[in-house]
Amino acid sequence: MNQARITNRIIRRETHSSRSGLSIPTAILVLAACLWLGTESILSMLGQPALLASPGHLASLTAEVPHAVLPAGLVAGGAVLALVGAGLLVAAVKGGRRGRRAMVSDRSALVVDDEAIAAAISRKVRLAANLAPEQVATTVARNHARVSVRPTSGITLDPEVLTAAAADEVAGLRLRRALRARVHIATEGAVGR
Amino acid sequence: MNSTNRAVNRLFLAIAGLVLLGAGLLAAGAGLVPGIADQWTAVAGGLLERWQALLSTAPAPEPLGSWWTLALPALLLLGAVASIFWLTRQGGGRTGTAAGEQDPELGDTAVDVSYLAAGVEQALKGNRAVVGSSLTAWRGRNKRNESSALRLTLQARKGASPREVADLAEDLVGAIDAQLGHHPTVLVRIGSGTRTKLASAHRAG
Repeated sequence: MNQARITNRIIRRETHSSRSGLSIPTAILVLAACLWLGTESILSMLGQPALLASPGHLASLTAEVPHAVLPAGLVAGGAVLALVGAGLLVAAVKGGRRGRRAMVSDRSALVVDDEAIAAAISRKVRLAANLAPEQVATTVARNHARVSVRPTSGITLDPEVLTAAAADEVAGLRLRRALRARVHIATEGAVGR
Repeated sequence: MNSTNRAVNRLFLAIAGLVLLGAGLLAAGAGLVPGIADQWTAVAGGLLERWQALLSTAPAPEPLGSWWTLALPALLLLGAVASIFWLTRQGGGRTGTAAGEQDPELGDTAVDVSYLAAGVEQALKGNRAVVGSSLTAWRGRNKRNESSALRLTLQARKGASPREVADLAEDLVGAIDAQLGHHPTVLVRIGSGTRTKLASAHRAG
């Protein structure tokens, strides 16, 4: 592998979830179920009393479930199982993007947290408009940054100046993928600033 | 940067998800439609009978009764081994050696990552934009490649420009290159963790 491919690979791994947080509990549950059923099957093979229920007993129980359990219970239990299964399936298929993104670098794989970008944009906008820290909040989404500004009561802010400040900060970052900055100025001002 | 096998994670999660989804839908269906419930009992009963018939095809001495009874524990053992395999694929790959060189005449040289980490910490002392740093080494994916990959994490002060921190990181990586005498693979992460939240914000200076 050449260096560019290694760098891309590392960036991809750093900006996407490994799904190990979900894999570990799932694997432990499967392991516990396998060990328990395995122990039961060996005990019944040796003619020993079962821990909870022998495999044959379990099998006939499973066959009788629809008639032994109330339909409402079946539906509820089935729905819960199906939801958990659908959740696992979605986690397996979806990208699992984390709140980080790549910056341009000649030498290394450079990854920055969205939160750090948001804080930098907020600061830049705040300085451009001469506001207090609480009056500016930025959230960074997949391909745009939303800057919410609460102006001081009685003072009009120029949205173009603020947008230019935010865009300037974003451009200065030199991200690998473009990020658009949108400034929203609240109609209600903050009093006493 | 660790050696988690992500494809395995997704494959196993998809299998577990499909099994649970199928079982859940079947159970819910049996609760809603009486026909499915009757079908369930009939099919399960049929399967149990088939199993009994299968048992008699391979008789074995007592107390086993049939060789087929071994199939169930064998299958479950396989499942247990697969889940242990899955668990051991999580994480791993961290190493204490940042770089190593083997020379038949001069002997082996290894550079501990803590040596480089201490240097990074020293270089960042008094820096306003960075509130914390860590440097770790990870085994390269290439088995033949002896050198490790490095991961440099810099916690940016709240409001500090990430580009400013990135330029600082590039300087640090350049210094590490100069010290090691080669260019290891480096991942730089500019983060905003607990240290960022606890430290005072970057004020207009």
